[in-house]
Amino acid sequence: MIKWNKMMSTNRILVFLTLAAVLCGCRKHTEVFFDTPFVRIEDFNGASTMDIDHKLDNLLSEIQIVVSASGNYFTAPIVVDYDIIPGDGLKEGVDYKLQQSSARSLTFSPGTYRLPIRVIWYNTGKPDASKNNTLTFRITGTSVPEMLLGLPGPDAKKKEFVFTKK
Amino acid sequence: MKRFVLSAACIIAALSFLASCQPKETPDGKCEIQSFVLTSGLNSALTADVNGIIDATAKTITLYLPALNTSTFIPTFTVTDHDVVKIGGAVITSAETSVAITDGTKVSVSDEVSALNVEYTIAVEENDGAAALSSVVFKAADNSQLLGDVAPEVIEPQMLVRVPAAAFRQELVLTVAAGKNDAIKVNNTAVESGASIKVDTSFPIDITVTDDIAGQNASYVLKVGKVLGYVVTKLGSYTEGSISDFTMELNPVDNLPYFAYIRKVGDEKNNNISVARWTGSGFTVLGTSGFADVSSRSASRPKIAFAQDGTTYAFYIGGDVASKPTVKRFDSDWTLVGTAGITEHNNNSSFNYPFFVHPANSRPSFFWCGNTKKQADYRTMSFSQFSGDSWTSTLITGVIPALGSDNSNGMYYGSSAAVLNGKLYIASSFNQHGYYIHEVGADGSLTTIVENFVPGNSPHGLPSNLKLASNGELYLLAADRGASVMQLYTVDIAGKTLTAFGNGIPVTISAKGDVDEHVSFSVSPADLLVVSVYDTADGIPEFAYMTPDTGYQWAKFTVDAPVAAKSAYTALFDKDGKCYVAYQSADAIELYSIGLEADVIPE
Repeated sequence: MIKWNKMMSTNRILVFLTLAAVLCGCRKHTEVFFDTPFVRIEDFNGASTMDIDHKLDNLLSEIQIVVSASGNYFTAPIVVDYDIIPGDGLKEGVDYKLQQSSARSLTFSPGTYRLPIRVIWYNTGKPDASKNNTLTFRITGTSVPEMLLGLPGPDAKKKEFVFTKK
Repeated sequence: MKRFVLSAACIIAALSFLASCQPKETPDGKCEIQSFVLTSGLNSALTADVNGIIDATAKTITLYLPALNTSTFIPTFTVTDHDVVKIGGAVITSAETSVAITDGTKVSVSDEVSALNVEYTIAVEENDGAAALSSVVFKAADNSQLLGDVAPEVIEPQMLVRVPAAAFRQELVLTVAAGKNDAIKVNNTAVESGASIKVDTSFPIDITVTDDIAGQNASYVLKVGKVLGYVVTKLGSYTEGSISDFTMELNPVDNLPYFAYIRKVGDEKNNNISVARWTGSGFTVLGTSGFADVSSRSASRPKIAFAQDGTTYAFYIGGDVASKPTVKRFDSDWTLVGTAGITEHNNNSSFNYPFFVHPANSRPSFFWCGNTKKQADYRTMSFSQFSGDSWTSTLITGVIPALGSDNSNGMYYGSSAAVLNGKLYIASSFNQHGYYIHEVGADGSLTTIVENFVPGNSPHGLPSNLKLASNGELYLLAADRGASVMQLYTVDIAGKTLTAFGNGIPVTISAKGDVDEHVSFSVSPADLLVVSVYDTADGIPEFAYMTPDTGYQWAKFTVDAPVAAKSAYTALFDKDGKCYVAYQSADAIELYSIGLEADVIPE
């Protein structure tokens, strides 16, 4: 009898635990989606830097700005602003030429996620090694306040792209 | 009472004065709708704004609408000052009034402060449901550097057009058009359909087309390259001791030029024959250098011919065999084909007689002219062919001029051969007769195509520089003695006629009836480029060409310091459209190529 009562008690505990586990599993589960818009700048290999051989003339180089935004954010054109920062060793119109559309902000219409930035490089002799011979494109802002500049993460990688004429 | 009346009159006068002092509405002299939009914000049936296209002249407003279940909309519009807008007689207010809009709906506008009024008709068209570029063109009217409009052959995501050198890498005006309700951006700048924008053609041109109504977009990249020109490139000089004569042919298998030439090396007593090939980067001798038998007398008149499988044959007149022709085949080295000294009698080797491998049977064959008096083949055209076992020779009669009793009139001067569509043709010259063109049967029998053609007021043809070539058609270069030119002709095989093609090249006809200058030509298989190389007075070769672009008039290539020429030129196009030009300088063979310049497109 005592043995039976013990079994009953054990069974009750098992039933209770099973019910508790089922009830716990029935709790409302909230899906978490990554929906953070961000914008990056890179070349077609995904790199953030490119060396330019000074011996090449009329060399066309092309990089791109890529926006990652869901329909929640991409309801209207997105404007991406960026700075173009030449080092003191480079001069626009002499060492390089920017495509006109690359010399200002880029506007992404809904459905357009990549837009090019193009630079033609000229052979102007060997660069002065004592100077800064880089040309940097740095994203500075967008028309979407929530949009991260560069890849999500503390380093905000691909926020800028650096050409170096060598 | 009188006082009351006076007071009332004063008040009325004062009110009238005050009323007249109120500011008056000034007419703007305009009465028009400036914009007419069905916004998606006010019209839930729409997924995007529909901008009405206003034609101010025709007084129409065109709306490209998707297929909808409603025709009631709240339009948003702007008008000039003091204008009132009505539809169906009822005043409507922008962004407020809901109204039925269908195809043909009239929109009246009247100016409240003038008598101006106007009526627009709304045209409703169903949107095409696509975003697509319909036209992209650089118009000559907008671009002075262009001779004609330049547009891609097909509108596709990646497009390439070519412009003349003057327009290459320049800023040009581009005109674009797209489908219904499509918004166009060129290099990220909005452009109305049918409108133009300046673009820097150093860069690829990005064109996007968006149809918000249809929810579609399309992207295009247009690149602008240069119309490529032909350039002359020196490939090299080749010598083997000293070289005194040569011929060049292209091997159909490796598509490269081979040379059979007379050379004398070191203290050798007699001229011998060698064959060399251009490898693409240099020259190399094929087999033994000096493979003719020249123990007692020199060999001369080297020629080379190929079977379609590339089997290589060399021909020469052997001094050791009484100036009769000998043919050798290159296997691992040169081996005799049949016997040395093929013909019964010796050859007249003063003129050019064609040596070839007949395309019908792959047998080495040649035409020739005997030079032994009182023989049937004396000064008469004969044909010899190797059957596989032995050589047979046939006297040609009937379809060529007969040799006159003076043994001069009708003498066979020489021929040039060319293959067209698997058939062999020769162009021939006979003393005091016009030019002949024959199709050559497999057995050497001749079928007349052109008989006794005498150019212009020439008394007869001349053997100098006679050349036949093909590129899908047959072309003949022949001397027009009356006009003192080398003239190119097209050969109409079916019509059996020759027709002058382009200008002639001025030459000097000597007192004895020869052309002093050396001239040769070839026709590209890739296009209608005709290349000719000829002497100038000081022996410096001139490289010239004709194309449709030149209106088939001769234009000259620029060639850096060409070496003076000593003897005949050969020009031959390979199967890819690259032309090889060779001529002999003092001791060497000079080889040039003529081909398209390197391509540069913005990418």
